[in-house]
Amino acid sequence: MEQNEPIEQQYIRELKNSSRKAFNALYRMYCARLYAFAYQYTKSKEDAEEIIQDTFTKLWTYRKSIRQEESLASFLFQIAKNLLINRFHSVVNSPLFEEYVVAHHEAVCLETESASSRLEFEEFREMLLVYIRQLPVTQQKIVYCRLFDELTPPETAQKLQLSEQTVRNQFSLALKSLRRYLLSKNLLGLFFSLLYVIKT
Amino acid sequence: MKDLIEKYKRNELTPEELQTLRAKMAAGNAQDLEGIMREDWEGFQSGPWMMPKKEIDYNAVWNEIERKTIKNIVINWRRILSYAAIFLLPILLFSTFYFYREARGVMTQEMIVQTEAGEHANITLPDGTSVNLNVRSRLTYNPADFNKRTRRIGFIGEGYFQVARNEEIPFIISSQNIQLKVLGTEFNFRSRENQDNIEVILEKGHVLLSSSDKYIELFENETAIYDKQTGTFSVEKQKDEPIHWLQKELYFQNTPFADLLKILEEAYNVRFEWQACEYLAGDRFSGTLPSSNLRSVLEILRKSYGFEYEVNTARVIVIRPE
Repeated sequence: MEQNEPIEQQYIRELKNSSRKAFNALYRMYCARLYAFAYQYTKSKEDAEEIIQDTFTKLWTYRKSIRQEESLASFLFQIAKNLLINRFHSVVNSPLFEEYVVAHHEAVCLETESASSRLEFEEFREMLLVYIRQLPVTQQKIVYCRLFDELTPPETAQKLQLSEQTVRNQFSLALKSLRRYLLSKNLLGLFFSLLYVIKT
Repeated sequence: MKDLIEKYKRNELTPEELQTLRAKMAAGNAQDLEGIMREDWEGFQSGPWMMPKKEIDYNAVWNEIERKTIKNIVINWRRILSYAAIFLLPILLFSTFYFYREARGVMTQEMIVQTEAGEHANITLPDGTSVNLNVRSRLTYNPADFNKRTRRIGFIGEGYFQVARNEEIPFIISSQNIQLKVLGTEFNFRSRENQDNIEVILEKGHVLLSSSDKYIELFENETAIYDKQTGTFSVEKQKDEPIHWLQKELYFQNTPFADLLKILEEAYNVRFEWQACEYLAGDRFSGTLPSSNLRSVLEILRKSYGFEYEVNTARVIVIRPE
């Protein structure tokens, strides 16, 4: 990093003069770092990519207002932070993420999960989408409304024309079978990852 | 809070800790979170384990930039156009005014249609009147006045007029010192400066002819002849003959050879050198000759008079006895 410093300053100067080459070089320097950083908070590749795209687009738009002595890292953070914080908030507060944490916790308690087989939130989400199709139709609809559209039980009841009690009951039934399924998946995952370790 | 975020990142939150994090984020101010994240970012190095799984498309980023930049260019164009409009407006006004005046200038200038020797022309005037002009004829009119209260033209030479009918606006021809007033007719009008009389052959309708002190009315199939020497009109029934020049014919009746050559010179825009044939000057010729075929005219004359001719340069014809 230290020895890159003068080169970065040079690129910034060129970028301020609208050099596409310099922009490209800076993109190469920071893209992976910003992406990895963003992914930690968004827990979604798509969202992380969107943040990258948005940030670098704005970098080009505001290239003239970069201060020469400022490091590009802090300039990029300045641009990216709002989007990042928003995404972070919405993940933490989503029912889907809560379900992920709960499922996780159960797995940890039952000691079926190891560090190597730990499911990412995104993988959890995809698995869930696959599994949902095996549920009865009403439960499918309820899970969609509650976890993906983030509706409250009363809102779900209204939308699906069901009683609130039915929504609650069916939802917890769905979650139970879901957790059971995930546990079995985890065990399989553990098995496969062991195989993988042995092979290598 | 920092610990909780660390756990969040590593997917190690328990359900209880998640609730705590939610509560803290809901209650805590945004600065705290931003501070933690900034600190995190400053020390952050992406290890190979955190590399994006698929290459992030640099082109997508650049396309997005171009899309936005193009939008800016469009906005700039609008600005440029608005400046251009400001500059162009006075120019437009000025040029409109200028060309308007120019057009008015053209309007007040006299229009002249003229044929030279060997030329015919057919014109249509603004009122729809059509005029066939024979050789060496000139028609003038003033576009600003024409077809307002009168349709007044000046004329010299020979022409066949088909005057568009309009009883409100009389059509008036002034020629030498006579005037001819019509409402809508067809007639041949011959008024040449080098001839002794002016002739009107009326084919249809009704015209009024007047000189400074006399006037006559002329009806269908009548021919009026005005004698310039005596200043008198005479009217005769029209000979049952076509108007020859319109048929591309030249008509002669007892015409002296000298006059015949003069007429041919006008019709074909040529010059005869006939000093060697002076003795023919008094001969008279009757008949028709084509007005658009010089070669056959010369052949006819050679046979009837027995001379030889030579087309010298383009427009000079030398005639000598055989």
